[in-house]
Amino acid sequence: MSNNYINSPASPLAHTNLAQLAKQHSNVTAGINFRELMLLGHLILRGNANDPAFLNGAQQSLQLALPITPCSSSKNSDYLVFWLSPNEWLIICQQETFAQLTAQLTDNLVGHYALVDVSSAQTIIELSGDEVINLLKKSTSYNTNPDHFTIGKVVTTTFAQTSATIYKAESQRFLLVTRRSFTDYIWIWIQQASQEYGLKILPPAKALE
Amino acid sequence: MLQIHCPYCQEYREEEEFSYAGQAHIERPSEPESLTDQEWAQYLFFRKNPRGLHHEMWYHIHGCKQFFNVCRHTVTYQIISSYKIGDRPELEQSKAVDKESINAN
Ligand SMILES: [Zn+2]
Repeated sequence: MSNNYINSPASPLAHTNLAQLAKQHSNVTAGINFRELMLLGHLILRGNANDPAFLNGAQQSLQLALPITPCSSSKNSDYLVFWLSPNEWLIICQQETFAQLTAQLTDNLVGHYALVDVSSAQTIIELSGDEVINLLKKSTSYNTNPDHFTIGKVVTTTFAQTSATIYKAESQRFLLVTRRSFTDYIWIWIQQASQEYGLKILPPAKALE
Repeated sequence: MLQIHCPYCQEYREEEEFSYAGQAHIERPSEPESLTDQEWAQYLFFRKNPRGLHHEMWYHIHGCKQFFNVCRHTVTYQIISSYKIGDRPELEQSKAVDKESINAN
């Protein structure tokens, strides 16, 4: 299986030189921490959630049950899986694991299903810090109340003038899955929206944790 | 701003996550070739425009990307129910309810 983005990897934020900014920010403390989780494997899995054979095949491949409750997620040390719609999931993993996962799914799934490699179509922005909820309140109409937006929940919703899939990893740590061509806009938006809280750039990571 | 319950996400979301997708429960004629031009035009172009309850489709375009049905009052904008594609509306006999709820306003 050939993956072009492995041969020529480039984050949609490559031009901003986040690694260099992170060096300048190493002693800064701020209300918002920004980190790109770059060049991870993003795989869209589609299939019938009412078909036990499909769920079973996915579970065998991931060693993890697909989250079938709306807006829920599941994870283990290798994979982070988001419910996107009743028949659609996003699986995120490290690039090294990606080919193996695709092969396993292809082996274990039977019948009508779809696997789409969207790794180069999107990226992940991690936002954390004491003011992160306030930043989200400015940016999305989704209810960020901790009783409603609970840890582990994942919602696709509006973000600024575009949309993003927002996953709550911890009480003050969120992952935004953004489309490649909108990521620069979101980056600019976040810089402006976090002016009053302070923004610290962390070195980009190529892993989920 | 409406708050619309998405039957697939199973929660209320802001109206700006959705787009309107026209009248619901329009069935494509099973034998289009047997229709008169008038009947075909009726199916293709003519839509209800009630003052009262309206069954319509909405598209959760910024969310789960599913189409679903909504029963909405066109005067008050009150959403009576939202339900999945393929389900039948709770209020099939909407006309009687129409008059009552308009008089009540
Ligand atoms: Zn939805």
